[in-house]
Amino acid sequence: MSSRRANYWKRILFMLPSLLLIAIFVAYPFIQGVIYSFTDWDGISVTKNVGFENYINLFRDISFKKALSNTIFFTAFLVVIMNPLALGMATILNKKIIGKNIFRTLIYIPTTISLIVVSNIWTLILTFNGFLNKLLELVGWGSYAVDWLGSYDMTPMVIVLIIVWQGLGNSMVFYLAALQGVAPELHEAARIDGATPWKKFRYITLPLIMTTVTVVLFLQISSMLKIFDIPYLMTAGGPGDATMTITMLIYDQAFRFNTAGYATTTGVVLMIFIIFVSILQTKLTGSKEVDY
Amino acid sequence: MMKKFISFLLAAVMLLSLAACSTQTEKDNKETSAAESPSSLEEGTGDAGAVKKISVAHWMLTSSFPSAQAYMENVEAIFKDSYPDVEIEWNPIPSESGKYHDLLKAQLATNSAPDVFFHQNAIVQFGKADYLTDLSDQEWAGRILESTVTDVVYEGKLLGIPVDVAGWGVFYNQEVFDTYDLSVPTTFDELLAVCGTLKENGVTPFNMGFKDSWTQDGPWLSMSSFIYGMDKNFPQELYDGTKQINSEEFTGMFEAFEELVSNGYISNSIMSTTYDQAAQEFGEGQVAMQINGPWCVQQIYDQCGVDVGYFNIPDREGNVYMTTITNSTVSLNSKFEDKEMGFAMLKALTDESSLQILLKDSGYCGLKDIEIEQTLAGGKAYGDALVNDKAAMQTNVWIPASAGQKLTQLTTLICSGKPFDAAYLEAADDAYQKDKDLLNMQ
Amino acid sequence: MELSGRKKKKYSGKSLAVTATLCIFCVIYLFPLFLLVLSSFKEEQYIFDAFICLVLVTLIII
Repeated sequence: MSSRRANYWKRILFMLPSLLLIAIFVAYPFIQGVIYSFTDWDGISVTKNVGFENYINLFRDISFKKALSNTIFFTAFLVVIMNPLALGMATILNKKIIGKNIFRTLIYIPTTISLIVVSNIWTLILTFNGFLNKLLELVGWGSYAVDWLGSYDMTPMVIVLIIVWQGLGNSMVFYLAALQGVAPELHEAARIDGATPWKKFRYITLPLIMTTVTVVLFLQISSMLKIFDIPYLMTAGGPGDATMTITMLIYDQAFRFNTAGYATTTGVVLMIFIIFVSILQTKLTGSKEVDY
Repeated sequence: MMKKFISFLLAAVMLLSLAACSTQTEKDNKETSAAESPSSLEEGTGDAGAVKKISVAHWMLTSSFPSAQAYMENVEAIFKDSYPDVEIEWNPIPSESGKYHDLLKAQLATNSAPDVFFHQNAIVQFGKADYLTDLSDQEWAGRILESTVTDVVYEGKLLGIPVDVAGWGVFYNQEVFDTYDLSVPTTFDELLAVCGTLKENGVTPFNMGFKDSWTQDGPWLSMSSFIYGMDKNFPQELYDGTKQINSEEFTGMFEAFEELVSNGYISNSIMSTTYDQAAQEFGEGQVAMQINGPWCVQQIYDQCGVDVGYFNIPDREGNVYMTTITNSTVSLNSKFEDKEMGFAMLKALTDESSLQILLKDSGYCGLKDIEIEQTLAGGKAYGDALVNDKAAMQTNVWIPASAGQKLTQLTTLICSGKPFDAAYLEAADDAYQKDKDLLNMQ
Repeated sequence: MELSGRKKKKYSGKSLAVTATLCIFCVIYLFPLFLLVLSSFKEEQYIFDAFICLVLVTLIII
């Protein structure tokens, strides 16, 4: 009995340093942030409690509504475009083809490039006098040449495609690992029973890799709801507010508008939104997981 | 075996280059800070008692600014006349990082800020938090340029000295104007006619480099004649609640800007052109005009050898207003105990001989008795406009940054080809009502 | 069957077609990286990332 107790306290002791770090660097700032969300703090002066005024103002704020709708747009389109592409790529590269290892690595390379360089390179391609428009003129499609980063309607989609380009390799690697865990005997048995490739994919492969799909979707959704870098570097939220995201709004509120209290309010609301969406998504995809 | 060896070699080269880069960066930083400190701290002076020090921070006192070294030397010479034994610590805030103001705020909050510091658009914030020494009974009180008062006076107290003032307006390529026999427009319709002539001759009338987002405020900051021309008391009336941003004044201004865009007088690649690219096109004569500030005069001259002219954008009735804001204000930290030494440092920093070095050909002084020497025609034209045109507060002095962002978004929306949308002015009004307490207005 | 006893790998025509398609896809997909390497000759800021790309590609080939 005493050795059990001793073991128990040993485990607590081993966990203590990590718990302490989490308490100081995660829990305390988080609680402090939630407290500030109820104040009119400007970042340096003494705070004054304003109750729920920040939250009421936030839900009336047109900038917040637009940033939220942009963020949801980016997330939805990324999920819809990236996942079939990554899964398709992983399925092809899981088969016996020449140079599959080379292709796997080549497709992964864009993930290793720094985001500042990604934004600079794509700016070179997409500016009005950039490579893409010059190519369109060369093939006689000059009338389709636009300022790809200066069009209110086109630019959000362009940003999504750049993020897909940069992140495809990462998702593909997850799916590849999952596909390699599917027993080939199951496919063999289905083939003997006369199943078409699509039916094999739908009824065997997809359910078996659903755990990975849950994880990949969770990572994509949670990171896209916090997207900041590529829109900030490439368009600074413009033109107009076409590519303004919630985290860019938080940045502006905290550092440009000197309304740090209001910024933490937006941050708290974003956090609740991400938790809600993540729970919904994991429940949805988690219910479809199987184990043969 | 060979493959493994080559792979290992490549990986080692990669790691070494990573290490070399970081070492080089550290070396560069050390060299830069050594070059920037004409009076560096000495350890172990050997005398009994601590060496007296005073620290001074300004984001412009780096090797990127050619006049920085000479300015610091001049200031030191003047200061040492009164305090020969005091060491000056220059640039305790690493301004190369571009995060000067964020670091300054953090240091003020933790009571570790420099003794004397320059700042921008922060008088309300710093005044509220009581970080600045009251200078109301000092020599500068009667010398402040009228248009800068809101930037340096808070709740009736003078809390800073306006060193450098600037505003936005139109700089034009003089050679291009001479080629097509164009003169400075006196009404907005004349400006449209000038743009029309330029466009017919294959010259882009305007390009401003909106890829660098800080330039996107330029149009609505430079067209405030449309507001003041209709109502010169607009800022106070807005604050009192008798006027709104969604009004005929602002609508008229943005509709005029929309006219420039829809007629093709603004470059169609403006959203993807950088500030430097736009300056290059302007200097080469491909673009005739730029909405910019006086900081561009020296840059364009250095880059392209071209001198420029200046005018403020008039409204349709010919009203012309010159609006400015204080680019940099210098203040004394309220926690610095030796006030006399602090005042002596402020005197040295704002002495005419020092400011002539710092601002020559690139800036204008916020002290009305000091006229900065301008050798370039563009600088002189800007200085003349400062004196001759009707003066008013720049718009972003009397509307909060959150409302200003909505106006900037409306500007870029119009540049992207979309029509003027009053919803953005309404959003600016909402932001104004929420954040008007951050303004230095009564 | 080879003299060493190993079975020689055989790739179907379909596999060759897929490889060819993937090659074309990779050329288009990685075009921005070609641009990065070319730009690094002009702009100093791209040198490090271009270097990483080239090292990765070399490791693949090896």
